Amino acid sequence: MNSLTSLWRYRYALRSLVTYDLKVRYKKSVLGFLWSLLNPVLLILTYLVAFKYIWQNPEPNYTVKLFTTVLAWRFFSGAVLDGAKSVATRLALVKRVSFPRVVLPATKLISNFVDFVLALGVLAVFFAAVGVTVNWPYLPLAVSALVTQIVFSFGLMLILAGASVFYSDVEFVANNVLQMLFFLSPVLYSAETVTKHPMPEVFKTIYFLNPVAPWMMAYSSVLPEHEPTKLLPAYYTFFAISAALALVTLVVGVLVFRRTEPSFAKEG
Amino acid sequence: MTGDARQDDWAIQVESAWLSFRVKHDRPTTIKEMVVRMLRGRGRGYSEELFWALQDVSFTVRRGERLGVIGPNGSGKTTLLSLIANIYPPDKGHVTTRGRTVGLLGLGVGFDPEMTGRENIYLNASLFGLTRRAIDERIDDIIAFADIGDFIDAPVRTYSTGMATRVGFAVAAHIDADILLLDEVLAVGDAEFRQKSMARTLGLRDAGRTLILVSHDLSAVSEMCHRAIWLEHGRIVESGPVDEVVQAYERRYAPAPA
Repeated sequence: MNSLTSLWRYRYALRSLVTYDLKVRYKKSVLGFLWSLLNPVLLILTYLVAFKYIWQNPEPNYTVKLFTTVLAWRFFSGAVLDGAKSVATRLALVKRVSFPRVVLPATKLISNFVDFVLALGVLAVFFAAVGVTVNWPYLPLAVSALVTQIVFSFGLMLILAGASVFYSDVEFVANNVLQMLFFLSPVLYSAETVTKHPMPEVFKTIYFLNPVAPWMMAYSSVLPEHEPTKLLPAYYTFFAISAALALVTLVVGVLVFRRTEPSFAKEG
Repeated sequence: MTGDARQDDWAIQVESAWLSFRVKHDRPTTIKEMVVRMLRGRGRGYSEELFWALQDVSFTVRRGERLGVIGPNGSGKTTLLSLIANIYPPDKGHVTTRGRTVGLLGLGVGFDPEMTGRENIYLNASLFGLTRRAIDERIDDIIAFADIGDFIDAPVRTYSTGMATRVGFAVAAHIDADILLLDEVLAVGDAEFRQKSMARTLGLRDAGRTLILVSHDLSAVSEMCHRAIWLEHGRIVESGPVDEVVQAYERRYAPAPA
């Protein structure tokens, strides 16, 4: 894992890149960070109108759940898509300075994480204001899910960042796959909608093998009446599979990246 | 190279280095194309040609020595510097350097056009391995050396080529590199900056620093370097004391009127 230890040696470079990344993200307007929150808030409000008022989704605490899962999803897809572009957009630097290229996708992971944590802070204020009760015993599960999500995201980012140097449509493909995954994960609806659905059991198994599903259930579980094992008895099995998959993805990502790294400057 | 006593005093060692670039005629450049080809049963087959940018290049540079690299366009000079700067590894052979190597390869120096000059200084210096504190200590000197006024806080896209080069050189010159690689950098600035950079670069020698200078400016090479190598189609044509190599090169490319 020497590509991960080199991140520590280049932490100052990482810091410059992350700071700059966040500056670009937030400085586009006077309101800065708050303005960057406008997009997810509008999106969530639209989902609420569509699913809570028009479709009349009966899920308890739906508004708060939607904020939680949509923000988490946004962190996942944002990191993966930014990561996919991370090396290809910095080829000018890659061709002129020798530094561990893993710094580039790592920058995107960190800046998206910081953005997510800030948004989460606003969410917490919102939680407190509407007076939602928090199911504290499930907090460790949500944190474990977040760690799993980060590990999986970074593995995927490494694979896609390397591939983007050689194939120009990686981001396009990733975008489409993510869009499908968004609707095939319990982000907008409860996992119960799937478990109670009359579809064949095989389909349900396939659905929950999607690594994103257990994370979203874990995030919802900090809200009352979203205990994951009540919705899906084999929940922890699926969570374990998701964690294993995340680890495998990270290892594959590190290996792929290490193999392709020497030719970034030559091929790009 | 000279005597046995100096044998171990090298800073850069290039041992029969070969480097190729792939010239792809119909390599799929998108995933879509790759899938279509696989569906048609053509697999991953595509014709590919190797262009050997460097062929069997060997030389040693002693610590504190200044080496000039000359040759026509496309002879492999920049590729050679990239190899020494560890931008990519050689296909065959070995390249070994001792100490911190800082390369100023090309004019862009990899600056981000949207970031300000100051932000780019921090980014570049940190990628060369400097800590935040070390950069804080040097930033005033770097900005003073670049001497581009208020532009330092404007995005680099608003810079002229000369200004970007000044900032790039200012960063490289303040990093305490053991080995400095300069690719056509001195050619861009105005006379005053050129004098300043040359003085700065030559001053580095006193601290035992090693320099490789790639340039088409033969008088600058003669003035600054001890030795030179002449590259042609990726091979070393001649190497030795700078005056001999430069004279041979001039005879070949600009025959002196009789």
